[in-house]
Amino acid sequence: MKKVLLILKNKYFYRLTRGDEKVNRRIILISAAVIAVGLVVFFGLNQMGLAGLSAPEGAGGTVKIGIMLPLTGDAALYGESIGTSLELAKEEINAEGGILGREVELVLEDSACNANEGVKAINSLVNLKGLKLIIAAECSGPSLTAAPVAEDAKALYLVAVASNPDIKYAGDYVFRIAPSDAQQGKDIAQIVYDGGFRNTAVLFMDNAYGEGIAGVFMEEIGRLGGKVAIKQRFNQDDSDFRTQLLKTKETGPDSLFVVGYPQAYQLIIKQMYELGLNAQIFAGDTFKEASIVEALGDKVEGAIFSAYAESNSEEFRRFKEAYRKKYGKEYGPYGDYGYDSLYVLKAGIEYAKSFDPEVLKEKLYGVEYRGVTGLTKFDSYGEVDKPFGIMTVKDGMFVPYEAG
Amino acid sequence: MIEAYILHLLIFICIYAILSMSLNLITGYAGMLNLGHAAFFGIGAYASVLIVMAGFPFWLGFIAAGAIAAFFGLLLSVPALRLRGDFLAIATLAFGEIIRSILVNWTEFTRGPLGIPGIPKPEIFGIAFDSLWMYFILAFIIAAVAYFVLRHLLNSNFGIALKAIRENESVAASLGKNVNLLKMQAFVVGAFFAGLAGSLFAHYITFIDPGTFVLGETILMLLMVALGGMGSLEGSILGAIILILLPEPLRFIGLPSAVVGPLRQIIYAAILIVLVIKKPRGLLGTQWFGGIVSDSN
Amino acid sequence: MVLEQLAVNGIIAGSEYALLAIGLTLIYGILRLIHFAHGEVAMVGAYSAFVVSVVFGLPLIAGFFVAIAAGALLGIAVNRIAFRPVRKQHILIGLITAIAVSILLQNAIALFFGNDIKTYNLGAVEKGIEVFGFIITKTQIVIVFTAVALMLLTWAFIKKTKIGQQVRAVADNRELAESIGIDSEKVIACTFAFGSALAAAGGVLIAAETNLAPMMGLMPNIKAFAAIIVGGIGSIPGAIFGSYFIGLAENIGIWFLPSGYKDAIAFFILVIFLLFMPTGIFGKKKEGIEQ
Repeated sequence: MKKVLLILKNKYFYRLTRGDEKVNRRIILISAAVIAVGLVVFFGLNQMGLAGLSAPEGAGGTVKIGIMLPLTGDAALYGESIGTSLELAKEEINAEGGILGREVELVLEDSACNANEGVKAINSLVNLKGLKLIIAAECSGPSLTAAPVAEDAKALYLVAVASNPDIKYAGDYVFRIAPSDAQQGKDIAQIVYDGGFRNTAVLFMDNAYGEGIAGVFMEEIGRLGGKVAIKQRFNQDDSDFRTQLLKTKETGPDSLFVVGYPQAYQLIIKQMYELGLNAQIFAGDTFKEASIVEALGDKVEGAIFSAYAESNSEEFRRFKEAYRKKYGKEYGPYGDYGYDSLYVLKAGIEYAKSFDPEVLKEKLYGVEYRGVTGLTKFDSYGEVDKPFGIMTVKDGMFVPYEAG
Repeated sequence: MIEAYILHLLIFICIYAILSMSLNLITGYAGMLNLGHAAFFGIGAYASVLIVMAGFPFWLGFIAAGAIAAFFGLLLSVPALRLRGDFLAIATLAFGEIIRSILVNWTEFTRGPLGIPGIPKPEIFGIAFDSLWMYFILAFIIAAVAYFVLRHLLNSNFGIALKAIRENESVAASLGKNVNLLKMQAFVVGAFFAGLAGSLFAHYITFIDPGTFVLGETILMLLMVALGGMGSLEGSILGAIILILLPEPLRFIGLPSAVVGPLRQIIYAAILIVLVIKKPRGLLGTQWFGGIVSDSN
Repeated sequence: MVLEQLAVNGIIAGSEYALLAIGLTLIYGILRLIHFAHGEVAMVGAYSAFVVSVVFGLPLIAGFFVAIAAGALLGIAVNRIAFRPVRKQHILIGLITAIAVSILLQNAIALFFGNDIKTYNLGAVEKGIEVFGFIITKTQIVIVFTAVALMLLTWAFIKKTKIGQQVRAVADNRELAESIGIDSEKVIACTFAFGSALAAAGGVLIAAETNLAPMMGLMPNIKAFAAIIVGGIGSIPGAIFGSYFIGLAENIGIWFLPSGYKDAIAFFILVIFLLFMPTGIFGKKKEGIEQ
C-alpha cells in the first residue's frame, strides 16, 4: 500500500512541478509576443491615423465629437434613442454647413451603463482617439467615473442626461444640460400634495436613478405634510410585481408613485389593474415612452409624471416631426436631450469661436440656448435650472398637466 | 495622451491579474468552481472605501479590505467543504447575489444603488498616488507582490497538496493531507487577494456602486483563468492581459450607433467560443483536469 | 384573502420557472452541465412567436408552435456549436461556452429587434377574475394550465417513448448505455431539442404575461437553477416542485421582508438546501456531493 502511494505521489508531484517550469519559459515568450504585437498595432494605427488616433483639430475638414452612451446592457434602450437623436442633429448641422464651417463626425463608445465600462470608454475617446469634445449620456455610474478622466485629459465633458446630483461637483470641464433628480423628486411631490393626495405608496427601482428620485420625493412629501403609505424597492430586471402591489393594496393608498424603466411601468400598471388596485399613478420622467400607452391603452389615462422637456414649444414640435420623418417612429426616452446636447455644444463653439476646451470651459457660461428641452444656461457649477414639466396622459397622448 | 490610455489599460491589467490569479488559486489549483468571486472584490472595495472615507489612512483600509474579504472567504468555504463541481458553482453564485442584494438594500451603510462617489486617491506615508504613473506603479507593485506570494505558496507543499486534491481527493487524503483545511485556506487566501484588488480598483475608479460587482464580473475573471490555463498563475496574468486588451481593437470598427454595441459583444462571444474550443486547456495550462469530470459520473 | 392571493402569485411565478427548470434538469441529468444559455433559448422562442404573431399577424397560438420548433432547432444548434466540441473537457469549459452563447443570443436579438419593449398585443388590460378570494387573469390561467400540460407531456416523453427510455439510460450510465448500442450523441441532441422546445414554450408564456426584451431570460433561468437544486437535481418532479417552492417562497417572503430582497430569498433557500439537503427533495443520487 505504501508503495502504491509513493508511486502515485511521484506520478502526480513530479508531473506537476515539471509542468510549472515549462510554463515559465513559455510565458516569457508569449507575453513578449503579445506586448510586441500590441505595440506594433498601437503605433501602426497611430501612424496611419486610423479612426481618429491623430489629433482631431489638425486636419481641418471635420470636427470629431466623442459620444459615450449605453449601447448594450440594461439601459441600451436609452442609448439607442439618444444615439439616433444625436445622429439626426448631426445630419441637420452638417446640412447647414457644420460647426464653424467644419463637418461634424460622431465617434461612439459604449458605456454599458456600468461604472467600469464608462472608464474604459472615456479613455478610449479622450486618450486613445485624442478627442477633446465629449458628450456623455445616461447612467450616473459611468458618467461619474468617466468625468475625472475627461478632466485629467482636459476634454470638455458635456453630460446630456444622467441623474445623479453628485455630477454637479465632478469638475471644471463638466457641464450638464439636464437638471438633476433632486429637482424632479421635489416637483412631483408638490404636484402630489397639491392634488390633495395624502397617502402615497412609493415603488422604485433599485438603481441610482430610482433611489435618487424616490429619496428626494419621500423627504419632500414628509416636509409638505403628506404621508408615505409604504416604500418598496424592485429589481430593475424584475417582471413580477404582484406581491409588492398586494402589499401596497393592503395599506390602502390614494396614490402610487412609481420610478422605473418603461418596461417596469408597463408591467406594474398592468398588474395593478389585474389585482384591482385603484390609485392615482404618479411617475418619473422615464414614463414618457410611447410603448407604455400602446400596450396599456386607456389604463394609463390620467397618469401624471414629470417630464424633462418643455413639450409644447415650436422647437420641440420641429424635432419630433424631423425624428419621425427620418426614422419612421416616435423619438424614444431622452432623445430630446441627446438632440439638444449637440446643438448646445454647437452654440458654445460658435459663441467662443473656438474648438478648444480651454476656451470653451470658460465661454460656455455665457451661452444661452433655447432648444427642444427649453433654455440651457449654465450656473457656476455647469448645471442648468430647467423647470420640470409635469405631464399627463390624455386620449392616449402625452400632454402638459394642468392642475385642477 | 496615448500614454494615459496605455497606463490606464495597464492599471486595469494589474487589478484584473490579481483577481484572476486569486480566482485561479481557488478554481484552477484547488478545483473549486467559484462563481462568487466578484463578491469578494466588492466587499474589498466597499470595506476600503468606507474605512478610508471615515478618516482612516489608506494602508489600513487596504489591509482591512483584504482581511474582511478573507473573513467572507472563510464563510464561503463552509459550503465548499461539502459541495463539488456544479453544486459549489451554484452555491457561490448564490453567495454573490446575496452580497449584491445586501449592498443594494443596506442603504444606511453603503448608500445603496446611489453608490459612493468622490473616493480619494490613496496616500501612503505621505506619498500621494494621484497621477496615472504613480497609480500604475502602486498597482504594479501590489500585483507583483501578489504574484510572488502566490507563487511561493503554490510551489510549496501547500500548492502541491492543492493540486493533489484537485486531481484526486481521496489520494490526497490518504497521503495524510487535511483536505478540508487546505480547501478552507485556498478560499481565504483567494478572497484576501480579491479584497486587495477591490481596494485598488475603488480608489482608482473613484466611484463604486453595487452594479459593478455582479455575476458578469466574475464571469470575466473566470474567462481570464480558463483562457490562460487553470493551475497556471502566469496563465492568469496572460488571460487578464488578453481579455482587457481584446475589446480595445473592436472599438475601431466604425458602425452605425444602433449596431455597434451588440455587434461588438457578438464578436467578443464568438472569439471566446472559438478560443475555448480550439484551446480547451487554456493557453498556458499544462494539466489534464480529470478530477472534476470523472467524479461527477 | 391575502394568503390566497400570495399563493396564487407564487403559483404563477412557479409555473413560469418550471418550464425552464424541466429542460434544465433534463440537460443536467444527461450532461452534468449547467446550461447557462437556457434562458436565452426561452427568449429566442418568445421572439420567434413575436415574429409570427405580430409581424405576420397570425394568431399567437401559431406563434407558440413556431416557437417550439424554433426552440428545438436552436437547442440542437447550441449543443452542436458550444457543447459537443468541449464535451470531454473540464466542466468550466462547458460553462464558458454556454455563457458565450448566452451573450451571443442576447446581442443577436438586440441587433435585430432593438432594445425597446415589445408585446404580443393581447388586447386591453382588464381586471382579473375573482374566485375563492383571489384574483387571476385569463392569461395567467392559460399559463398555469399550459405549464401543467407540458409537464405531463414531458412525463409521457420520458416514460413512454423509446427515446425517452434512452434518455434515462444515458442519464443513468452513459458507458453502459453505449455498450448496449444506444447512440448517446443522438440522445443528447434529442434531450437538447426537447428541453429547449419546452424552454421556448415557457418563453412565449412568460412574454405573454410580461413582455419581450433581450434580457428577459436571465433571471428566470437563475431561478430555475435554484428550483432544480431544491427539487433534487436531475429529477423532473423535483424541478416542478422546486419551481413552485421558489415561486411561493419569494412571494410569501417579501410579504414579511423588504421587497428589495426578493431575489436574495431564492438564493438564500438555495444555499440552505445545498448545505443541509443537497440532494433536494426528490433527489436520490449523491453525485458531486460529499456527505
